[in-house]
Amino acid sequence: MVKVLVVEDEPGIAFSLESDLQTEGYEVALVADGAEAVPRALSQPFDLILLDVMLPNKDGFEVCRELRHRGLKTPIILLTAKTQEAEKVMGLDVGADDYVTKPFSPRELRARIRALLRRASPEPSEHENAGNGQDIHRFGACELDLARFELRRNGQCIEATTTELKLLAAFVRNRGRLLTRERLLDEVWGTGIAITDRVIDNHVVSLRKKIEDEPSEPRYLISVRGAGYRFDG
Amino acid sequence: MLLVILGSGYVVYRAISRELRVAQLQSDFVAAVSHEFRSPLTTLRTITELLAQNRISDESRRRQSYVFLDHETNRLHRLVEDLLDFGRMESGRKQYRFEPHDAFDLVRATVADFTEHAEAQGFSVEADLVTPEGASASTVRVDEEAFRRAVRNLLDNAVKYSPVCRTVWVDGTICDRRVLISVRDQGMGINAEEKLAIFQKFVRGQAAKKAGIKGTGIGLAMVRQISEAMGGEIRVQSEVCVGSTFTLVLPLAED
Repeated sequence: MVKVLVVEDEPGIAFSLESDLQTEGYEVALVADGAEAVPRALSQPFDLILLDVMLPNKDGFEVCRELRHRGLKTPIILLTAKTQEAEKVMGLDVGADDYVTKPFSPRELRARIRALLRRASPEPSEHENAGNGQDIHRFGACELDLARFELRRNGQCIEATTTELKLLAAFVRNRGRLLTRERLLDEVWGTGIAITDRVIDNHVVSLRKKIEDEPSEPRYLISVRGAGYRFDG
Repeated sequence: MLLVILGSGYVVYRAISRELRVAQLQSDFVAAVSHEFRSPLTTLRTITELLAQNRISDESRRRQSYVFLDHETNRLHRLVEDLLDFGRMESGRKQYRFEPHDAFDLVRATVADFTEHAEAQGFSVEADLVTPEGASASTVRVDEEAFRRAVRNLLDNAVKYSPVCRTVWVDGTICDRRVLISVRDQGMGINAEEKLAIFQKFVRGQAAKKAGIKGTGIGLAMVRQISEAMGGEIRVQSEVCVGSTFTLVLPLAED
């Protein structure tokens, strides 16, 4: 599970970040004090750090500089109420990977987080995957073969569109975790594409017909009401 | 001739330095106000968006969301009111309604209102308001809302600048036909050079800024404006790393 450290002293902002990131399926740790941020960030591996700039006892710039000085490579996004260009430049110069200006949209922040996580741990290419035993994912009577990019059921190849296969691959990669429609959109179609939630739902319905014994009572592709889908394969 | 030129140069240099300092203070103020607005706005925007998109499904967290929305809306409201009122005070357009009130009753009411906010941050407020034997009642002619705001600002500061000690003391007494109301903390304190300057608008203590404590720099300037408008004054005793005592001194109302 992706672990995110949130360093934010405003209780309301910390609360909303924690709620949103947990809904996204991330594990969240909160710190409200600049002086505590450095030891906390070094105490265990995090996949990403959200760092407020104006913090008690040590500001976000100083925290960021110190973390980089100590060799920490974890992606850092600065959350700043400062809008001056010089301050943004300073944030990037002390080692932050990105910054978001308050008041920010949670949706934009989520997209930036996903982009940074993708950059930090790129998925293996098809070439790297070739011959890897993990290319074939089995669930029930189905097999998703990522190397050949095909879906089989009871050993027989099932006709599926590229989008359906990509969608299923995204579910398989995130087995057991809630995937919001927004995240599916990002993983399958990529950022900057205008697709409605309805399109995703239609593809899920279509996939269910191909992998489920009873598509109306799915066992693998589970709807999580109001949030998205989870693959329990 | 040379002396005249040097003298003029020095005067110009002093004037420019003063202007630059004022400009810097104003710039700091704008940045601080911007921050003070952006933080509650961020909470409002993010929580509203998450609720609208049904991304806070847990019922107890939903309830907590509404508490945050209420709290941050009030915070924004207070900030706007403070800025508008301070502008009116500065320009002499603030209209006060001076009426006789029992100062200690007003302080008790302000402390009672403040206690919930203080306790949420782990603070307790101990009030000791004593009318000495033989002294008349603590009646003062004040604008109730302005008086309470001055006391509230002092309480806010006591909590804000006390990183370790979690108690704030409020003492009240009557002496020489004046009411003295003191708000005392064992916080970071103020150094000698800054004691006078902190009652000027936009000025904030260096230690507070360095510690990342947020503020606009108008709270104490408002307290001074209010106390002077009510015919009184504000005093401070402070020692770095020991604490501060701010005392509001007001004349008793004439019988």
